[in-house]
Amino acid sequence: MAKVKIQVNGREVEVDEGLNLIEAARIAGVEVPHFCYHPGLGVDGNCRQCLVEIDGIPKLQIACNSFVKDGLAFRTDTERVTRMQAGVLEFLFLNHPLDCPICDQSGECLLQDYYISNGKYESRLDTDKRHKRKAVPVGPRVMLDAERCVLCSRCVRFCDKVTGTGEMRIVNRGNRAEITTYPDRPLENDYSLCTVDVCPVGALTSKDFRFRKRVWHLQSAKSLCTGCSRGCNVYMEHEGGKVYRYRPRENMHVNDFWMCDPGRLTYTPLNDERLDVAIVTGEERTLPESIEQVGTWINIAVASGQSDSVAVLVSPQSSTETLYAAKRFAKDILGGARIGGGNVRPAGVQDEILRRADANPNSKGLEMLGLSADPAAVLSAGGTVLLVIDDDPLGMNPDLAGAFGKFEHVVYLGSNENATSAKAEIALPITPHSECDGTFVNFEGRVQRFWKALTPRGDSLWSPTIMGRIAEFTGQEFGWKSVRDLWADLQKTEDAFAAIDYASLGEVGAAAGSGQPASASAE
Amino acid sequence: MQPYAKPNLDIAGREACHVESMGHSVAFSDASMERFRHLLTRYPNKQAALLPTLWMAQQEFGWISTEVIEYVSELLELPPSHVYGVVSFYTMYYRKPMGKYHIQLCTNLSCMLMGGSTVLDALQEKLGIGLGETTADGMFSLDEVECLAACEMAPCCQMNDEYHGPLTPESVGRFVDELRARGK
Amino acid sequence: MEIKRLTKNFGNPESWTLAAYEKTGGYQMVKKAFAMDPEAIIELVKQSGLRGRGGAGFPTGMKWGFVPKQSDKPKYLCVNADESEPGTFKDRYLLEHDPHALVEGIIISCWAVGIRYAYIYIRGEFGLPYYRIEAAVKEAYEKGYLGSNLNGKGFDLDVTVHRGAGAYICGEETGLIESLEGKKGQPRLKPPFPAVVGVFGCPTVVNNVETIQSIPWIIEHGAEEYRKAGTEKSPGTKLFSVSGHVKRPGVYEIPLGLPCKTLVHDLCGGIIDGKRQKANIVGGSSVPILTGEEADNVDLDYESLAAAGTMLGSGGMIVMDEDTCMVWALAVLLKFYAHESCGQCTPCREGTGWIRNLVYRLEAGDGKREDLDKLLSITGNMMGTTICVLADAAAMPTESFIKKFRAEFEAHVGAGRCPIRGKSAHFLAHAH
Repeated sequence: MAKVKIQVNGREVEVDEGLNLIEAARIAGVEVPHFCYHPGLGVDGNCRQCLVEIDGIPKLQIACNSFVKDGLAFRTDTERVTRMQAGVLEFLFLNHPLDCPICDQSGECLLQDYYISNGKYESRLDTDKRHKRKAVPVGPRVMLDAERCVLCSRCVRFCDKVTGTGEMRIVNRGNRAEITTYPDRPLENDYSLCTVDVCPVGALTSKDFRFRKRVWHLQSAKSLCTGCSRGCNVYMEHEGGKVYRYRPRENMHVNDFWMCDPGRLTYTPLNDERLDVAIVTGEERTLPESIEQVGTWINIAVASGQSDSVAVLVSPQSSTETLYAAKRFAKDILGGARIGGGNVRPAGVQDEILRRADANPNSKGLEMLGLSADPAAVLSAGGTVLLVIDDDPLGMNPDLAGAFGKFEHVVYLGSNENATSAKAEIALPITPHSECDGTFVNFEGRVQRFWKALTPRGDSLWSPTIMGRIAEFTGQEFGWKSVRDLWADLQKTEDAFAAIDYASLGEVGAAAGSGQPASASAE
Repeated sequence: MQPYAKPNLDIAGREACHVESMGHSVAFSDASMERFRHLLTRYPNKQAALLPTLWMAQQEFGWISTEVIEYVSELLELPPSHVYGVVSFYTMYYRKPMGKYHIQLCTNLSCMLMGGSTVLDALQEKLGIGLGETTADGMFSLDEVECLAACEMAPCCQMNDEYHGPLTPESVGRFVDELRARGK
Repeated sequence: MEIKRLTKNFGNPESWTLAAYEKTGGYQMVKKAFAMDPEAIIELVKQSGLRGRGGAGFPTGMKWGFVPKQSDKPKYLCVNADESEPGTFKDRYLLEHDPHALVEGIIISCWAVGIRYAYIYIRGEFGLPYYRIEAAVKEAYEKGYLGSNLNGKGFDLDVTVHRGAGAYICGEETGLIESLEGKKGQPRLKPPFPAVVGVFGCPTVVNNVETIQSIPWIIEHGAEEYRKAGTEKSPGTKLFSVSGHVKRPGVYEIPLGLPCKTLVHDLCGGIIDGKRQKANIVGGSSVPILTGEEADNVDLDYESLAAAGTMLGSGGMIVMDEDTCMVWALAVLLKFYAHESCGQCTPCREGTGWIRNLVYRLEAGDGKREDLDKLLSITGNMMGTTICVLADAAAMPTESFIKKFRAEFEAHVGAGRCPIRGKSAHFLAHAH
């Protein structure tokens, strides 16, 4: 795309031709206040908050519907702009309740932010406010406070343009205008919580999140949703060791600005029913002694030349790193153990927007590592030790109990207590994707990073580390201290990953096979 | 994924959408259906036929109920929320049953200058109802309306789709009596 | 003083029928136009100096010229018959008395601009005008004036009458387009302009009834003759709708540039009961108000009115006598604007309701002295900040009322009731 030179508040910057002035100003480090414009929903021009002064045009213009061309100069800092922006804000507050102390949006409310940055006028609102509905459900997952709504129509446009379901509507006109659903047509599409994300104020709030945490206490980490094989980019927001919510993170190659509701609510296993200490036959034990027991069993098998009596059941729920460590463990340390795993999760809903039927975040990674062997084949002959890594195969497929029973020892490496951990003789706690760095490969073959958000809970360790410690009992080791170390090996030994450099994955990931960061390869 | 529990979701839509049920489903007569099909030929897409279709529906069913909205949204393949949004935006789609004679008195400047408010007082007294109300016998509904573009006959009113004016407190009394006689 | 061009058939027996229209030479100009090059017609309209009669006064020929000559998409004409500017009723007269002149104007305009489809967007409240124009279109189809191959060389034209449903804002050209598309009539962002992206995403001309109805006359008599009425910059005749405290309210077709005094005091017979003209809103409720004295000294053309600080607008003149309370009158107008704001743009949605409430309070004698400056400051924040001009249309009268009649507003402060009318307007309590 052609670059043009423009001036923002007197400073020259170079930007892509055709950008609107809100985006152009952002590149120049200038925030133009706005409510209705959203990059994923386009220009609507109703809020009138983004008025700016463009050289050569006498009237103030809205930045969202003005576009850069070479030599264009505009200002956001003149007396006139400041005055008019404050004027628009004052209009918005005219019928807006001043209930910030009890509003869940406090701390991430544009009205609040702009009042601080562009308002701060003395109140002269001495006429009665209009009253509208407060705290009514508009759908199973979204609550509405119509008084707080600034009528920006973002939610309307989301349901019209993105999901095509058209539930939200502004009805009536003038200052009687009000956001609503139609009777018996609640906001229940699979992406309804995105309306909460795009709502610039506290009108639409998430039932799941509301009143649970003040947002200014939250910390945020870049992560991925594990609800299906799309791998929507998210912010994982947490406090005090607990994850409170996912919010979609922009990635135009994967999920644009959105994510589905079911995916958004998949964070709960990161908090609940965690396996965070080692369990040996139902008793809590220290991690070292538990690892020693497993190491001993493995060593006996290896030493007696019976490594094929060991089986490793892996899961497309695991990170690429876990899968690679498991593969190396089976092939190199043991020298010929059976390994494989596949999709034990039932297929979910697939749609035209984001959702994929494959409910696993790393099926593609599993396939690229050559680990998609049928679990039945892995388990069939029984043996000495069965290592089950991640997920809950027994919980999802109780019929596997018979096959499990054909092994002398069943060892589980996982992050949650479940049917599989309960059945295992030894269960070892490994870090879920909230507690380590790592990658998943989405259904299109895009390798994407997630970042460590929390310190590992209890005794949990990174799974390659645990596998490494077990390996030590056979006199061998992996020697990976970090994801980077592991990836150096991965890139060398796995053809499918040869072209991918972990360091260059960036925030948007890279398409496997291209060797280029996605941002470059997609253009 | 777990199926979601389905709570009572009626609240939001019901409170904001002032639309009532007729208690029965609706469908155009054959003649209206013929007109409707002709209507569609006058526009490049179905949505554009919304206003005229609502007019036809109001003519046939009397007012715009939930059933009418659902019916029209099916005919034109539009979300009911869109149809309701349109209905609520315009003043001439009635969301409740109206009297046989709907009197709308202009209360804009030209009419008010010529004594519109005394006519309004007289009308309310004569009919025994206030603005936005319908007489118990279903004969009259009374509303105020913005400029009807008939200022030369101020103060004026619209009775169904006829204009009447200039009105005086006395003449509206006679007018109401005439209508009442006609309507019996 | 009156010059009857567009109103020439008013009063003829059954003037609205095809038979009556043809008897006075109706539809002859279609034949003449078909013999002309479309470009030449546009040029002729440009030369005539005809300006849009809906309110904005944009030169019609120029507007037509903005439509791309070559277009993959069909072109549309939307005739704006959504006459709803308070005090304006001239299009209603045209539609009731001479609907075929509109149809003839449409045919010629569409031929000139290469338009395939025309819609007549008529306001929902119009009963009789709707039936008349519907009947006229039907007659025109039956007689072969509309339909396919109208000129024997493949020119097709379909005309559909589309009824609005009660919303002032649909008189704004992009609000009209949205409404025609089956949506709420909320004005669109510009650019793109309708000439390029209009109804159904196609190039579109939106013209007022009076504008289109002027076209056959211009074809018949030529641009030079057209300019013989009116002034150099405001040529032609204009239909004024006069209402309020005049003895003979009605529609008057006058040459532009006629002294306002002549229209009010001569044609309309002056003020009822010989009272003094206290104020005059000359161009429809949205334009700044003039005092009676100012009105008596201004000429009715675009330039003179602009110089006097107001606008020609739609030519809807509302005359007020000496007993009129200006605070009350403004309250009545602001009731209207708050009711009609489409609710899209923040400053208009919130501002119209706010200034209305403040003026209500003043009218009731409960206002504060600082409310006057507050009103001026709020209207300052409303003007020029919205998609369409409805906010300006509410703000401009407010400013001019307060500036020109400030003492009267101040007299209401703390009075407990309207000091002029002796009571307060109880009807205002009914407003939403």
